[in-house]
Amino acid sequence: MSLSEEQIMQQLMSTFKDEAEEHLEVINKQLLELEKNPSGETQELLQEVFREAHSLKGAARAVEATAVETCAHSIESMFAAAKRGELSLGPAEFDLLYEGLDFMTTALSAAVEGTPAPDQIGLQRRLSSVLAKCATDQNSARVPAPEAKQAPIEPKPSQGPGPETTPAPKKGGSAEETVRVSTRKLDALMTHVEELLVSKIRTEQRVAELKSLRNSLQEWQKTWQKKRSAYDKLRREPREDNREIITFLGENQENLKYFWSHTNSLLQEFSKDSMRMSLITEELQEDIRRARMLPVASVFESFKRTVRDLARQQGKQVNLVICGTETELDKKLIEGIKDPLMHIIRNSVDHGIETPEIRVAAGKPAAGTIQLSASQQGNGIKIEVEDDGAGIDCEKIRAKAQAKGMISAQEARSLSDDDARLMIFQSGFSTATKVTSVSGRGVGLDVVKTNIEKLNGLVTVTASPGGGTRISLSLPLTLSTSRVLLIEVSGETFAVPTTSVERIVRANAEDIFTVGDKNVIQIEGRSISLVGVSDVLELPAKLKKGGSSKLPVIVLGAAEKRVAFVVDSLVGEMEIVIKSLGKMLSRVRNVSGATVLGSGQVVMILNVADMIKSARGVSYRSAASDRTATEAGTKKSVAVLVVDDSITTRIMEKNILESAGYRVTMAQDGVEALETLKQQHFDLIVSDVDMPRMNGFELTTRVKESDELQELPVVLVTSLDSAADKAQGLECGADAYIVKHSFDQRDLLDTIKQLV
Amino acid sequence: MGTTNGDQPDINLLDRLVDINLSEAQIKEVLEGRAASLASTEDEARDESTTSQYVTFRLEQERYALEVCLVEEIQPVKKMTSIPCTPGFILGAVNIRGRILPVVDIKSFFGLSPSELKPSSKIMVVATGEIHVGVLADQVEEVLDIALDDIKAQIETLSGSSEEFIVGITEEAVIILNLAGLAQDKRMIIHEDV
Repeated sequence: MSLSEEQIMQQLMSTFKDEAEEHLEVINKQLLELEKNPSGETQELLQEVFREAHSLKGAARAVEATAVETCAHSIESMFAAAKRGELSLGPAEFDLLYEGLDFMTTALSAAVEGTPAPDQIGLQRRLSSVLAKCATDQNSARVPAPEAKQAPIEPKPSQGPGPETTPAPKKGGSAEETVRVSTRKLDALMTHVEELLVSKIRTEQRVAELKSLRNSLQEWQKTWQKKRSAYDKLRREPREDNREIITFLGENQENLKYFWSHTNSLLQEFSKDSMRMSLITEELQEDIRRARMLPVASVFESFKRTVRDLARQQGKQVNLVICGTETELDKKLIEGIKDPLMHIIRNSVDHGIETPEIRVAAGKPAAGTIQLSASQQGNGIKIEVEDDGAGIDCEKIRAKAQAKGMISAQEARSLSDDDARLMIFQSGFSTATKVTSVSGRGVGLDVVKTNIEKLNGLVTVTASPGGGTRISLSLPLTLSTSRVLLIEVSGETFAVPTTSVERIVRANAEDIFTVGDKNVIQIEGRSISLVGVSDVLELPAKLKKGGSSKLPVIVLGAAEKRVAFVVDSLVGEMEIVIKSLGKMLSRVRNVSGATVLGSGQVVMILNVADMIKSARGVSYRSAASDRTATEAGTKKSVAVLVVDDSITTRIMEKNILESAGYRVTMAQDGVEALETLKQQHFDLIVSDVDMPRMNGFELTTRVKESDELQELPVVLVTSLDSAADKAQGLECGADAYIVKHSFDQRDLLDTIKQLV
Repeated sequence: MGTTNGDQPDINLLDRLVDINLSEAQIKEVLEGRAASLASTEDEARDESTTSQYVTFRLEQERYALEVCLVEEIQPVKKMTSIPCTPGFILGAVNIRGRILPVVDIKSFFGLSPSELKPSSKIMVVATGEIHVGVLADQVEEVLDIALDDIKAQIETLSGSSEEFIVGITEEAVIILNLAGLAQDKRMIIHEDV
């Protein structure tokens, strides 16, 4: 039973983690609020923040996260003291409180992972000393009417319970009731609904089939109407020998009418049912999709703290203005944009916003402003970070990129300002004169672009009207659906996200040129390198029929790079649901996921960024060059059959041989080896001696006795190291005999080299 | 899953007892007897705890076995989509009620000649840790009780690293696979950048 207890604990921990994170976030937010208006009506805020700390303490105690509990307790006491007016919160106190929050965040993850909690003695001592101080203050201040002191700060009477009583429930009765549901459960729901969508499409297919059945019956009836007069004539003048068939035809007329009307009403009812099912399924899908959406506020709020800390550290004044926090995004996307946004904002504070002196000298207000906004735009979300700082010096970037060899002098000249700004997201690029520990520019910013592209998003950099910088992230609303172009390559269907498809052309042979060993295609006066999708995906290329037909070519773009890809045919465009390939296939080259079509068929979704990178290594092979390539390939690779009953030995030999460039097939004993030899051609056999069913000696004898195989060299690899065995091996015709004790890969490879 | 343990009829038993109008004392007596017998089967089960249930399956001449509790379901092979840029032992992906499942060929993974898809072929959906995978079988045979004592730790010629993939082999030459070991193998987890 210990296992299930462990599971319960795990579940408890994960619930605690969610809850504690929520509390910490709220406390953080309220602290910032408190810090901003020290003289305002803080009592209500203090009460709330006190309650949060109290709940956090309780939750931590329940799972025995002692470090979190102790710290939460001290912070709670500080708030209680502040609430009573015994402690005034100044910059030093706020710093201490923030430090406490940071400590609890670390202690929380330590508790969840089951690692020992970080050391908190120093922090705890400082917290205690603050508390001790206000305790003495309290004693000395007791005498001059503490009630009077409290009254003006507390305008609303009966403002919550006293300091040490249990906190009231977080929300009032009017609030919506909520249940915490894990995303795993939502994912499972989504999967089921998607499967329902497949059924829906199939049902619609059935409606169409039923319709065509009804139409056939209708046709039949029409034909019957035409033959009606002939039938009537026959009926009027019946002959004895066809009386029976006439009766049957009469019955058929009735039957036909019956089937037609029944099919017709069945079709009508079924259409109605199908339509209703479609509607509900689509609604259900939309509802579940929406259940996964969260307002961006949860991420945006956390940046207030970052900006505050950074600005303080650097002696700058920065206001973070946040808008559009109610905009909703898929939870996965929210998690995905957190780090990139953090980098961008840090970069803005670090390099964008100037020090107050410089700003004042430039006639700007001393405090800089960073505006973080989110808004829905069509089928996507736009998130912008705009600062009123110094802006990006495009000339400096051009010069630097050229100096670093990232672009040529000519490219530098033709590079537009916006493209130049985008260079800051290239890896290894840094314009900062000093790299600070905070933003580590050049390391962080290229991560931004990769991460956003991973989410099917796009990054752009423009100059803001005020001379600062505006960085925009365009993201899809959800990660789960996407519009794709379906293509066919080597007999298989693949999906390409339409956002990456820049253009679709039908290329003539004369549009394609060869530059060096690469093919290049001219599209509207621009040269773009051309490769085959089958080459990139390592699929067998389909031989083209005839040479005159135009080639379907798609131009795919990711970031600034574009490559033209030859496909066999274009199938169409559709909206699909993106699915992962599971934990086992966590990252497959050139494939980003899979989807299920209405027919139930699984289709791989291609990873365009990967394909463009892969395209550098291959070039599109025309049918002619293809043939020479395969000829050369067969000449080079020698086929070896490895026979051994031990998996370890087999795999080891396979690895040795394959890394030396041989093509390896395996068999586990003599019988299987002989079977395999019948089906394929081999240039050499490497076999063990001691095997079940048929041993190596017998296998060698059989091979050497066979008319077709007698020329085939056989190498015996064995642990039998007696002279007699060796003699037997050579007697039965083995071409070489290697003893396993002395087994060394050079030995084996040299022997094989001599024999073929 | 198909494990039957014959201890289900508790509720039925109660119903039956109520039906024939036994006195409460009588019911109690019967229930106590029942409880005692249940307790004793548990004791016996403890004695046989060295036996586990395995699903056996065939891939050409070889017979393999996996622990019953790892097998979630068995599905006929529907249309399989190959996955480009993956090793040969990954046959492709199938759609199991909306979930994409990669399918592996154990023979090919062990370096034997790759298996062919046959009309009788089945996909055994197995799970270990976070890894879900389909294992191809020419034929799924039966559920066997195998005593741990009957599993030979290793065939003599099997040595070294194969221990990770194979628990052992039985008298009947059924190879007991170590799924956790297979799933943890570096070659099994595909994580490749361009």
